[in-house]
Amino acid sequence: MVVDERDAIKRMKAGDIRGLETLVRAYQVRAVRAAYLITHDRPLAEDIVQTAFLRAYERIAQFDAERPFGPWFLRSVANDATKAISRRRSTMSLDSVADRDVEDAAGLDPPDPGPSPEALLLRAESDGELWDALGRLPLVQREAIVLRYHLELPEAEVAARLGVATGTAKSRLHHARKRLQKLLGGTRSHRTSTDQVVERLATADPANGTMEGGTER
Amino acid sequence: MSNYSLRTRLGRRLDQVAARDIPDNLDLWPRIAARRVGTRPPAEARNWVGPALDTRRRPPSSSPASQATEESLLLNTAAEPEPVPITQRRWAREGLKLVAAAIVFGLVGALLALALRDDGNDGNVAAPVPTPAPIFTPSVAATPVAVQPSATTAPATTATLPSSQTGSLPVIEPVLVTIPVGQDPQTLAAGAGSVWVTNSSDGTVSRIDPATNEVIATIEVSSAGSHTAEAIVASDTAVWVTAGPTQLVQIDPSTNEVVATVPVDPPVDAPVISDGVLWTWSEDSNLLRRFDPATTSFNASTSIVRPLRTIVTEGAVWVLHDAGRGTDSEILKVDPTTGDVVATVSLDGYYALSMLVAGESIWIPTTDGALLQVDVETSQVVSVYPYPEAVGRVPLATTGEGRVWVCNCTNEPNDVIWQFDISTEQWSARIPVGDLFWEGSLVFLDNALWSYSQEDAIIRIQLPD
Repeated sequence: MVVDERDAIKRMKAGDIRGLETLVRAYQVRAVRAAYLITHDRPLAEDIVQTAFLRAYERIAQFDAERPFGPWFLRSVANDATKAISRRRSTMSLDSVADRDVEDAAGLDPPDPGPSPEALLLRAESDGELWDALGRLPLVQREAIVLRYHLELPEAEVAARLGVATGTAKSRLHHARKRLQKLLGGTRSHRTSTDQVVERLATADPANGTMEGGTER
Repeated sequence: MSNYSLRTRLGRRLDQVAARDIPDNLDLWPRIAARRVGTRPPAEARNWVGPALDTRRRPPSSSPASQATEESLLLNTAAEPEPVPITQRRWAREGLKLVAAAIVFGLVGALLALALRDDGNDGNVAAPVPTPAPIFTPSVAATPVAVQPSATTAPATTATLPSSQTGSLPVIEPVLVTIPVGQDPQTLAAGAGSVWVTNSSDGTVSRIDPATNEVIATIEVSSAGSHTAEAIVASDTAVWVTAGPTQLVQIDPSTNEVVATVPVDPPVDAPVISDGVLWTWSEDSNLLRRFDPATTSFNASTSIVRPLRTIVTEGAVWVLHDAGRGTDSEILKVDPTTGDVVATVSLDGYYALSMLVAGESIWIPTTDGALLQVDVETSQVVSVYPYPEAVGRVPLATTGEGRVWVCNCTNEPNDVIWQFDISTEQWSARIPVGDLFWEGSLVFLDNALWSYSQEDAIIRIQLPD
């Protein structure tokens, strides 16, 4: 794949549009899914990704072929998705909860953070529940979650893509996880460690829900 | 049990949710190909990853010939693009081929007749016919399979060191010391003869004595239950920490005790301290503010869009901010007395998340392959120093004693810190650091570099005397 990718980029740099086709086929699904998780709008997500591929082709002369294309491209797609939603912000009800960020930031959170939001994310009863919860996150938090967990970027890169300091990115992720915790109906009785979460996942009965329960694809 | 990390499994769960509506067999290529036919690239592409201040490194513009080749490739792709208006162009091309063929046949026939007529003179039959190559050029250029990279479409030179220096840097074999601290160390600062580190999940600050490499104090800074300690800045007389992040906490380094806790609204990001004054900024509020420790209150503020980092020099506050396009940054020079922006330094497409002060210059370790030098007097980028090798992630950087260090920390076995010597304006050494570092912060103290690993520990990298 790496060889194919480098060859594709070389071809694009030489003016061969078929190089782009290779990259499209390699990254289109992941890119559209990332954009879709942010926009919740499939046509818009597909349009964003198409435009991003074309932009990549037009500017390929300036791309360092030694760097992996995928991570950069997927980050730019996430960024484009956020910008696109920002432009539509006034008409999208799901962003109306963004103001609630202020509550969290103002220190109104309860002293005990409750069960791990990550555990709750995994324990969402259904895909639909998780989808709805994700859609109710403020845009900036949704983007942070997608960058961190769907695209698996380290926090420093999440910060870079969001254009904020690493500390701000961490805070944003923290608030995003806590909001998901509320949206998914978490209790506040105890704090769950990451190890406990993984253990619970490993022993969960997949028949009782849609949780992965340790199944590898 | 799955061997995948929790983060990976979370990612898979999100992918599973998105996959309900975005199937694996999604195929965008026909639409992309069709759109490509309908649009032309700009004459000169906008900066993307590694733009340059040096015009010699700027990419050349696309030539019409390369565009024609590209278009013909698109039209002959195996995919099925949506209908495009190409019929007339195709007929014209076929007509051109017919005309060219007729001319060739005519020429060959004429030459053959001449040769036969002169046969008796030299005994040679049908002397070699000069190839009428120019006549065929148009049809050859339109053939999709004969792609020859045009000189005008060659890739721009990327940010790499001249070959005379690449790979020839002296290697400093680091002496590493590991110092365990609290959970999830996040930011380091050097001041009051110590290294200070915030332990974000513990809500504490660890103070390390460089003479003994031991934690000599652990100071709780967060309010009960919030368990966060983020940015930290240290001077000889005060250490300030953001906790919450809606609190500014002051530690007295002479006692290692918290002496002030100040609620801040909106929250602040990494502050800087200069002459006893604290400068804070906030991405959330787009504000640069001046905090007076004597009154524990903010006494001035100015609006800065999307700030990323602040530093202070004599008579000026400098704010690195996102220029709004998500791919490049600018530096704003702010008058500390009026709050007015008195100069704007364009980084010409480079993107950065941090900047440093050393000598009469500001140093910007960009994410795009080069270290930039900005003259504080002229407020202009005066030099671009390409990194010795390509960077994989956001580089960490620090400065001290006439040197700048940039760490290409990717958590890979071949990670390296490059050392730049300000006086010679050269990269002077490379320090292999293995896969210890991923993200975080880098500081210089006592001829050593300090950062943290993923194992909740501070790593001291001792430099040679």
